[in-house]
Amino acid sequence: MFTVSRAHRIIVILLYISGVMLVVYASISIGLAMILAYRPPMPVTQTPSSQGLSYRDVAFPSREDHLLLRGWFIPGTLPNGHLTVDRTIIVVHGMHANRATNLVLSLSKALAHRGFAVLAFDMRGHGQSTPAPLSGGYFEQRDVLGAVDYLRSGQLPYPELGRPRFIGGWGLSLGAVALVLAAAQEPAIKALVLDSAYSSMGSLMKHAFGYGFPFIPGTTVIGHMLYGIDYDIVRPVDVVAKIAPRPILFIQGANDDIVLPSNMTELATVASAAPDARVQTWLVPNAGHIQAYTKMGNIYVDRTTAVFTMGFGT
Amino acid sequence: MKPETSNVGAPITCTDQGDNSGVWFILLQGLTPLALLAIIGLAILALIMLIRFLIDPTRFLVEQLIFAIVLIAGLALAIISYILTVKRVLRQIDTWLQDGHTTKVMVGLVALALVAIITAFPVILALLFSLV
Repeated sequence: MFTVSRAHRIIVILLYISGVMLVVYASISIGLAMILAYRPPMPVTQTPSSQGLSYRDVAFPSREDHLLLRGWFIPGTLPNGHLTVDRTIIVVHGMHANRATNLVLSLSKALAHRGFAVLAFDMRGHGQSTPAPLSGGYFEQRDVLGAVDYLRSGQLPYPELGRPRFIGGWGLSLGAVALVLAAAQEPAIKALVLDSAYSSMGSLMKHAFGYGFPFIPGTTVIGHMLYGIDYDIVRPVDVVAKIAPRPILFIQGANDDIVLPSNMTELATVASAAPDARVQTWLVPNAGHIQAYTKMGNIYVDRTTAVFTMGFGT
Repeated sequence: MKPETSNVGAPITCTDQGDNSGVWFILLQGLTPLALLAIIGLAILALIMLIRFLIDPTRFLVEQLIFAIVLIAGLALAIISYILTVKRVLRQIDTWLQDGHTTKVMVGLVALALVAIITAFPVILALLFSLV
């Protein structure tokens, strides 16, 4: 028979189980939210001079929240040897990287040698820029918008070369997402190359942590509470169609197990549905996450510059 | 010495021989652990809002450190207050049980069952959300 003493015992057990569940859940969610938002920045260990490029250090504020971002400006080199900033590409690194990675520097060099100036900068919380929470693109889009503002109205180095007439964007992973979110609201970005962009932060987290990982909702709530990050609205897939008719090249490693190729398919499908859309996709065989450039070399540069040339009409 | 009453094994359906008054008061008393958790949660939230308002966004590392301190302290406070208030209510229920106030015991246990369910509810909700 169900007695008072048995009910008493059951309720005591339930009380302790529920208490432990709540404490464990809250602790893990808090820990995850804080880990997601901060990792010590990777130091900037080399400069474009290591690639034989001339450059100047630059610093500019992000749009809206005015965090100081540091980068460098590399003028493009014309076939006659003259320097130019006429066509400038904003180069945006990936998560937990910075503007000084071999990949970014090598691509910057390739772009500069083809006559494109490069503004490569550290996003907030990365490299030498202001420490700030990492937000999967939610805040980082302001950094890209700050770069656009800087190119349009900031005090640029090489004043003798004037100001860029055309601005394009090349981004890797998180950088590609920040670019999409920025370009959707900034028509000055005339062409985009998006390497390994994810379609939404939600899908990335689900894939990274595994389907049914129970701490995602808690982490999202704590991230919002602590840092004001709303991961749920980091959804490039919802805004990518606004970029048309500006050309977009989506690049994706076929063997990418961090950002699955289905992300590119999803983004490209939505982007292509817009009127006058100019969307290309490139699934690179045997390439993992952000390995397409390493695998394809000059072909990658050719395809990238072709998109910029198409977008700039030059 | 107080005589031992043997209501511990009484069927749950039995009627009370004692005082039926103050059922709502007993219910509220039983919900104290939950109320304290809510108050601590709101206080942590308010503190975090204050920290975000007071500390310049460029001093993120300082902000992160203060967040960690506030959250760890808040969590510790929540654990301690939960254990202490639950134990207090359980002791009270034991006293009623020994005195034969079955209705009070029942109401107290219902209140604690509600505490257990509501405490676990956010976690259960999160588990369900994560499957969607």
